[in-house]
Amino acid sequence: MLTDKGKISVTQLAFLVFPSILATAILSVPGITMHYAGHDMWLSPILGSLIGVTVIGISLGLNRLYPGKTIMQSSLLIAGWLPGKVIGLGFLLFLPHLNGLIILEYGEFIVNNALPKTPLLVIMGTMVAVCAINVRQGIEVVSRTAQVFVTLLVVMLCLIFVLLTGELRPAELLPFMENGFVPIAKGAVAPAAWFSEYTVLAFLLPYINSKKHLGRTMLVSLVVTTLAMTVTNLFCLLLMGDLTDSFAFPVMIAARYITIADFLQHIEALIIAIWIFGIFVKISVFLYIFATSAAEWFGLDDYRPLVIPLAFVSMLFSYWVVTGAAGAAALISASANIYTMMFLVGLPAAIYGLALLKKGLKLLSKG
Amino acid sequence: MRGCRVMIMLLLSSILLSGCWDRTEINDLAIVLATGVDYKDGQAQLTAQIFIPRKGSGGSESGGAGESASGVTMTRTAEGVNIAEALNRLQRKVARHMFWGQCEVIVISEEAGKQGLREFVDFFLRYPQFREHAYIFSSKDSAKDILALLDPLERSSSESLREMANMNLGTRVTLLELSQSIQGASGSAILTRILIAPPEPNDGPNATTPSLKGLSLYKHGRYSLTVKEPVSLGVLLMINELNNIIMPVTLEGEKGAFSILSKQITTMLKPSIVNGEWMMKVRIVASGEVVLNTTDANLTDPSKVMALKKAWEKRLKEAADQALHMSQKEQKTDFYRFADSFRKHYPQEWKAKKEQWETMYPELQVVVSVKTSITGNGRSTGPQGIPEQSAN
Repeated sequence: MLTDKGKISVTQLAFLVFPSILATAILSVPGITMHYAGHDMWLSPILGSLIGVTVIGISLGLNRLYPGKTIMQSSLLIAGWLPGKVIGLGFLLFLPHLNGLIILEYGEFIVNNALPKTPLLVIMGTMVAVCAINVRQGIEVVSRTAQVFVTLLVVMLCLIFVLLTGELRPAELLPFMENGFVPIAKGAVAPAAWFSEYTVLAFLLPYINSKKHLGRTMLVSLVVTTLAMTVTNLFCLLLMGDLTDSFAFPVMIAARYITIADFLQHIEALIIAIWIFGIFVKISVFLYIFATSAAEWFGLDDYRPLVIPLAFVSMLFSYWVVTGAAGAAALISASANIYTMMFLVGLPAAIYGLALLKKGLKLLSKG
Repeated sequence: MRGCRVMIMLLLSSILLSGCWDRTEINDLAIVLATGVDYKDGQAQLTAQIFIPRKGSGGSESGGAGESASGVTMTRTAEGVNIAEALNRLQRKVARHMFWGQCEVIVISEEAGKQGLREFVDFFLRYPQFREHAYIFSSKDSAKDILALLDPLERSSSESLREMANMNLGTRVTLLELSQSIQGASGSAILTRILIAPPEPNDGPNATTPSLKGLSLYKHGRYSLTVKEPVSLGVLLMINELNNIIMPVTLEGEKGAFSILSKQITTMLKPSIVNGEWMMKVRIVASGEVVLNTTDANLTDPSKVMALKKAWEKRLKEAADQALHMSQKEQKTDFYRFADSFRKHYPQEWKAKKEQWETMYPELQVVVSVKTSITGNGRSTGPQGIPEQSAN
């Protein structure tokens, strides 16, 4: 039984997932991939999207075997009650880490670029409060806000790209494969960690009202996300070249660099404002998943009473995930990506593998 | 009951929403239009050109006879062991919050350039407000004097510098591009050099414009030399920045000269490594228009146009060779970023020879090829101002 009675369409689901991956990815991915893959960094997201395909496959597969059940519920049926609860607990312990990190990334970005004197607590707290209210309204409201805001986000991205075309130098694409293929693969780890967030499908698929064109829409969504990430990387590379990884937020530098006809400039504040819509959807989606998963794990009928306390927990974790002054940037690199993928790819893959094995055994014993 | 609760909520929220108690209004800001960096007696010196809003806004009423648009900026200078400290001290001389977000021009004096650009580039790219798109100039005199100029034509001297950069009169280098240039494989940079045009006798000492003259070249991020015409033309040609230039060209066997206004000059670098032989091919394609003809030759004659093309080609090739000679033989420094081209096109070979580049560069074989076209000869066909008989 689901803890929310709302239903959304497949398109709305795609609108939910897009900012859930891209909102933070466009800030961090260009720098990290540049660090590892050098001038081939635009290839890394394409390689990383293989993880996206895998994760979408797992989510759709689980939903086909156990329709109408989230991964929290189906794991109970697949692994048995106690192991299922342990797996669920794993997700419940991991989600505050992820939420905390997302919230912290948002807070640090705003402090760095827009409101340097405002306390981090106020910036993050106000955002989480708004997201919590949004989540309490149910999945239908969350996805409708996403539909409106994602449109704005896409327009903003296109705007930066179009306005920057004059400043780009295609020569920066060279040297191609300076150090062979290995750096591209290393660079692909970070985008792969973001693509692993497609696992949100495993939590959200039960809420869709019709499965028509489900697989196709999700693949289109993956292609669009990959394209957006590749184009972002490409623009940073062609504008900044080797300097891309020396900036904390390369996309922000790109936005600040826009100067057209002496009057179309200083538009970074507008771009931050619109980007906030994207991060709002992302935080809402992950907070929603956190709340519904917790409600399912405890066997509650309604997830709503949990939203505010769990939003508070996420806030606390945003302070706890990082020690010292290094900030979110230090955590997003290397080890954290493996950690994220362990929970968002490894665990669902194990559950799905087990489910397939069970089904196979059942067929064997029958036949 | 419910209404009562709403009222209490509203009243309570007024405690939190106590308004803009720590606001910074626009008349609390000192808006910096340009920044200058100097170096004197072992101390970094930072100069800010600050906009004075009172004079700037009431343009129409003060527009009486003899009144110019100038006088809307002031400058303030502070010293420190590095520019970060200087910036900090500068605030103590200005009664408003310094705001650097509108700073579109940065002038670095050659004296400061000798200390290395790295410190400045790092600071300007790290300190929150500076714009990556700010244009960078170098100056012979102190940057402080340049910023103190009150251009009679523009609102401020920073505005005139920005317009000049936009017109592509020298190298148009932004902060981001400068950083890329000195961090690149060759580590060199080329900046436009500004001087102070001498003021008209009746005007005050500051009522004049900055003028662009020559280029400052930087090696490993440090100022190394200044080039002036004619070498500077060759340097601009090599880095594909030569625009709006009128060149006199003489034809063999003709008295007088043609002047050609370039419409477009494109320089392409094509590195090649054949059998371990490193070679750089420089290909220049130029098109231009005749704007002055002091010879007796008539340009409706195709053979004359051919000859003129050849002569212009020779002229451009000489300019390029001169610049190459300066860079390879005299300075032994890769100013034209050949190293970056080799790295892009031959990454493996570059990695193997990276360490030897400094010794390889002066001996590198460079082949310059030029192709020109004359697209027009202006509004006149034959030479003007010659009696009809002698033209035949």
